[in-house]
Amino acid sequence: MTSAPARYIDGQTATSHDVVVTLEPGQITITDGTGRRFAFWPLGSLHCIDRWPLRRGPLRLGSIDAPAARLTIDDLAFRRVLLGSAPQAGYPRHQPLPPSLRRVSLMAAAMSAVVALVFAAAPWYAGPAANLIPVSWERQFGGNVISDFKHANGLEVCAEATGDAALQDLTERLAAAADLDYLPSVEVIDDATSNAFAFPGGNILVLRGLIDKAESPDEVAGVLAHELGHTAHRDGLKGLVRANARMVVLDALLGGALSAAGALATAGNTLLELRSGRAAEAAADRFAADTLRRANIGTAGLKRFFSRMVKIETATGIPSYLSSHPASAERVAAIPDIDGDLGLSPTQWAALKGICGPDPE
Amino acid sequence: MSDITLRADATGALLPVKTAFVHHGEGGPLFGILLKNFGINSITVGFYRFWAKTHLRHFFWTNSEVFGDRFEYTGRGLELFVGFLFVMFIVLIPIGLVTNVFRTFLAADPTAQVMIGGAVWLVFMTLVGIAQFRARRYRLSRTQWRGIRFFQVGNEWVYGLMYLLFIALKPITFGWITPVANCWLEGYRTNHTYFGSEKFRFDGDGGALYGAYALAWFLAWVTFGLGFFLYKARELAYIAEHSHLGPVGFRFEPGAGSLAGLWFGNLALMVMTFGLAGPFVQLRQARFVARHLEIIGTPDFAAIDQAPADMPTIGEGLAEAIDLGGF
Repeated sequence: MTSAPARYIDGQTATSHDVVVTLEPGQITITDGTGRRFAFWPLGSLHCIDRWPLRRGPLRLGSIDAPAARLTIDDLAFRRVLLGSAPQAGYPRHQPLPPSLRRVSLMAAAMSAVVALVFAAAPWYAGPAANLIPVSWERQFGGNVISDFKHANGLEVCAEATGDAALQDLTERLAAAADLDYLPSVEVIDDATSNAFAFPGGNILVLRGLIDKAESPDEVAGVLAHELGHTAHRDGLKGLVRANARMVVLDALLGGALSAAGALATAGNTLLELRSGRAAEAAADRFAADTLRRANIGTAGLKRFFSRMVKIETATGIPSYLSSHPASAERVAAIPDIDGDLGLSPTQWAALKGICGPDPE
Repeated sequence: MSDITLRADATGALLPVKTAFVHHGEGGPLFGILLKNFGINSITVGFYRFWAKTHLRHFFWTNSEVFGDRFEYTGRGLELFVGFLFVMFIVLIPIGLVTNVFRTFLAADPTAQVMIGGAVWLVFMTLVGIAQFRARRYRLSRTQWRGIRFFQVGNEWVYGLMYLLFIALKPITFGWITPVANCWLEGYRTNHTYFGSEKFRFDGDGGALYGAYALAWFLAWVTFGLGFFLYKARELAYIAEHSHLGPVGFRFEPGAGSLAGLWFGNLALMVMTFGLAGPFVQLRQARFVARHLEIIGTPDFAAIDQAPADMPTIGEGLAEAIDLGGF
């Protein structure tokens, strides 16, 4: 039987009592100054008060049976003996798993849950959030984005009087049919890739390659109607809100370890990487079909364009239409067959084809 | 309640009993904790910081001793994490998004930018004040001595708005509001702090500090601001002198020289280690306080009862989110 002096605290008042603690089989007894035993703590009920027990400090014991009380033991020899008989007395309560494993799995679970929540919930809040932003703001911002984008990528706009007029005509016709709030601005970029983009604020870029490879003007009309759909649905803006939200969350979660500054600065390029997602694409397709019908333009061109795109492989550099507008046979089939004209007169079509000057090939 | 316990010295004169804090923390074990924290923080890209902070705080609390017993820290990393998540979703993300949106979409309008900046600053400063107050409340609620809990009451909005007011007034008054501001904030915190059933009191208004402040202010130009150590030393001494716990008083008189030594030493340490030596700076400060802080008189321990059980369950999420640093 070993004994040692100790200090007993009852946890009800701030007094500390000098006591003697004795290790007996199965329990420790606490004796006051007069030799009276006033507490018995079973060995199994013992635990350490400190979450990380002090190696070079007193051992502070608590008992499950006496929640508020503490026993402070300075005596090293007694401590060694006690911990030999009751090793769990050196550990805090509630430690079913080794601390590191528990912490790591908890951390990993929480981390994944939070990040998954924000990323998965993005489509849900992006829409309402984007709708809060006034259209006039979007247009002003969109203007800045697109000029930054053109500048950053060294893109040249093709401008030629008759070609511009033809394009303007088509745009106005489609915009009127779609009943848009404002007339989008459509520009042709001198690049051989076959692609088109809708930036926020109704700024649409069509690459020359798309016009070159189109067999008839209703293809261009169809693609343009599709891009107008993105404009009407403010898809570019929603993508930006999503990317922004993810950046803000990741930045906050990781305590600033990531820099969120880059995201907004390269808004234009970020948009390229943003896939609107199938829902947005399908919605834009429906909008296109609807608009074409109301404008009396046939959908054959749009369907032909998509079918051709499905067969073409992605080019390097600015991605081709597919990588930013995932197409599939289902999408082609989903577009209804509507009869109508081609959208542009033969003269206008020739003018549009020549908008970027003589054919370099 | 007993009066300040006096004892007779060799000449028979009565002197108040003075007790000091003892800090047992050592660099070796601290470095071990630091290394572990650094490793896991790196792997988890900073996600581990809540648990890292908890472990450090536990180290400092359990190595601080007074009247023969050490403090206990019962906080958990999970509490800090949950508090942070709470704040992140309810405060941080909405404010961050709204600010970003306004900044982006009104980029071309300078007046709007200034107004946005102003609004953000106002909100942020109030949040800093509130965060400080809440963080202290959490820390105190998880601090125990001899099993008796500390706690803090008071209205965080009052504190936050006064904090904002003083921050705004500082440049306007060329800093002259500082003594009153610091004393008001300190007083609000202290007067709402309890150790069990015993309440802390602060009865200073800062008026007596203006002599020292004026000296430091006028000397600032000549001494490149070093004069402010004189003021700070005086301010700390004043605060201690006017703080009470029941019949017990405090003294903290390190002197401007030691204070400056501490400050420059910490600065050098941080610069040389690129900020990684944070916990060692805390250790230096803990030892400094233990060296110079005195408790005058002895509390009537038997008369101090346990605190009521109503405690905040999530921890300083706002402070964590705004990253106030420190203890």
